[in-house]
Amino acid sequence: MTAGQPFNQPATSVFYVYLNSFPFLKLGYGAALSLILAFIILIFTITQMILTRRSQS
Amino acid sequence: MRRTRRRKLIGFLYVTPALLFVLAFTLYPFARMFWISLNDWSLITPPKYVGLDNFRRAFDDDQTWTSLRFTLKYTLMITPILMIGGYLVALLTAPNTRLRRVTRTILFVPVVIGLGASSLLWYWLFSARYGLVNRALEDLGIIDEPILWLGTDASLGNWAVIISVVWKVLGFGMILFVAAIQAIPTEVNEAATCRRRKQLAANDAGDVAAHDAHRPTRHARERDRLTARRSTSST
Repeated sequence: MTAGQPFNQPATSVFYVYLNSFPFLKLGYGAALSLILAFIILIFTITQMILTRRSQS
Repeated sequence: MRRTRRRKLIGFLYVTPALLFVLAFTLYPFARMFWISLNDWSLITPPKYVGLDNFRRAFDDDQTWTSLRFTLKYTLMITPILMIGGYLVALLTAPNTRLRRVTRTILFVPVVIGLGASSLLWYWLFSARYGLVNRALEDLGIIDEPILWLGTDASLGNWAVIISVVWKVLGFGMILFVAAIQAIPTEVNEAATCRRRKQLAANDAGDVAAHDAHRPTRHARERDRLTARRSTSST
């Protein structure tokens, strides 16, 4: 939104992954961050699937 | 036996293109990303293997948690707006009249245009000096000085983004809700209308209580049905 400038302003997780990977040239760090994000999304997905299945039965 | 195996093989051949696609554009990049995350790599120098060091640093980094918190906050802000807004718009546009169809189309157009195009569009609209948003607010006399939407005020920028995303995504929720509303069988609506008419008639007659007294409650009906079933099953 504001290109994270000054950098203490909020950037969403995905944007932070991008910032680290490409402008800051820390691709490994960005990949690690994106895996953490993927794990969090996985937890939400599994929770939602369980809840959906329970409400269907 | 041989025939079924042959059939399975043919079926497998049919899905091979899709499998190859998933393999090349989903599974392989994912595996490769996992490998990259174990390395210290700046894209221009050769990668250096550091194990789980990147993850340790990510958990220690305050900025990681700040960005996750901000993502959560943004999601909690925008989801209710999208759900409630989409539902309200769907209620207005669900019946299939000509004008409502046109309205639906107009509301759905932002979903179809590209995210990049819409972002640039809103970036210009929210521009402090030349933006149409500031111009409109000034002409209406709401503000005297142009607002610096996308400047140093983070919450203002956040709201600007929320406005633009709601504009872009609202139509999608609307379509889903419209589909669900149109899938309600007509019998349900007719029954509801009948019941409402009856109630109104009873109201007019001035004896709502008498009307309700004659109608067995749902609970009572359930009880009657269960007792009836029990008496038949025991015999």
